[in-house]
Amino acid sequence: MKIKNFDLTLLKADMRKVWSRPTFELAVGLVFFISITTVQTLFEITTVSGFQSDFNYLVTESLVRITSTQMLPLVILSGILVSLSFARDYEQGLMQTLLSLPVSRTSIFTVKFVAVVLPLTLLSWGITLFIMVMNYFTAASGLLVLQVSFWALPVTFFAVMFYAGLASLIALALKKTITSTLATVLAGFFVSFITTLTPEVLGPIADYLVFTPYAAPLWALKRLFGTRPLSEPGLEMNLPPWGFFILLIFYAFVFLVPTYFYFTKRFEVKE
Amino acid sequence: MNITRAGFVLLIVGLILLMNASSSHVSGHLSYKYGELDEGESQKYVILTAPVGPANMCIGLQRESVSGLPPGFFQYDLTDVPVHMKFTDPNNNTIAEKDVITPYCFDVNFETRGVYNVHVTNNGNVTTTMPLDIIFDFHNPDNKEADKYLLSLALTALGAAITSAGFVINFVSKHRKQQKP
Repeated sequence: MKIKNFDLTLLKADMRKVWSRPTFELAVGLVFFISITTVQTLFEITTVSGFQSDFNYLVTESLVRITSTQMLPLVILSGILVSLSFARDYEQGLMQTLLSLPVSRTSIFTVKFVAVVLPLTLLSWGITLFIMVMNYFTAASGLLVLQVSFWALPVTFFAVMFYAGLASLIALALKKTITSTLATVLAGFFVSFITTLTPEVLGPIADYLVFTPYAAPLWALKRLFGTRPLSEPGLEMNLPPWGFFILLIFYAFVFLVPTYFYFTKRFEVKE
Repeated sequence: MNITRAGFVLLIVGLILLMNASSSHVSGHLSYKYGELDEGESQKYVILTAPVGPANMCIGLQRESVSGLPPGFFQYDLTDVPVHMKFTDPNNNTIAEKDVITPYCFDVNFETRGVYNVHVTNNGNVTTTMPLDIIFDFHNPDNKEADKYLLSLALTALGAAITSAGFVINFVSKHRKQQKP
């Protein structure tokens, strides 16, 4: 029990340090600004028979668009915050103090990871929910808007876990705040950039880009809501929605597990 | 999180929302046409909208063909058809209900976010299409989302007030601490 209380104290202290002024304010501003600019003014004319399907399409498309535009700021923020959590502690000598405390390395790693991932996910999802409710919540459609918006939470969580896992691996390898931030942001941009490549550039491999860490969260939502594809359906239609969620879970742990083992077994603090 | 930071976050959200709500607005001509309406048949259009303010609504306004075909080529695009129309707001209150001859245009004001209904019954003895057109002024600042604009003003004011209160509380508490020996 004592250890649990100590972990909680450590988590609070780490969250206060990572999200100190002006990081939280900048994160809110950046994510909210980018999200709100993607939403168009609500104005649709339809018939009674087509109303429900048109409204569902409008709401789900908006959610996918908001989640999609949030991906890049989340990459940047994950890079900065994880570097602040791991690499800066190493640079300032705090890591040595932390490792000398009567707390397991697993607890330290978990605390540092959770201190970034949990608030960032909740911040991103909170903004998504606020925008969705503000735009589409009416007496008749409230429940649908809340149901649809809920699905952004696990998708955002797994996406943030992937980027934070990548960022923590880079931060522990490079051990320098600025360098690891830049390296993570560049890696994130690369993951984003490859999804923009067309079959003319990449050839048949381009069909598999829907399964990349950047595109998979969006396709998980689209497949879940049954969004009509704009172009000819590709390989994404071969994977069911739960398949995309399994893929997301895989991506969430792909960098996290090796980073965890590296931190708990091999990571050394040089004097 | 202390009160100053909470207020500052509210202020940031309010200002971004204010910028968005005051800059984006609907503009131009929106049209919707769904099948043909036989003699005595009714059709109900649903308008899902934000409170975007004044507009001009037209029932049975047949637009000129862009294909270069002569007017009246499309046999079901008819005008001068007697219809009964009913326009209701999201609370199901009737805003307009009358017998008119197409094309019939009237001013509307979208004041509430939600679903507006337009019910049209063909009282003529012909089969015709019954398009519904909504025409907004070109870049009229009144056609912005009123509720979002109000919310942004409220958040900005609340954020500014809480931030100021936080600064005052911090200043007073520091001043008191300094006075104590």
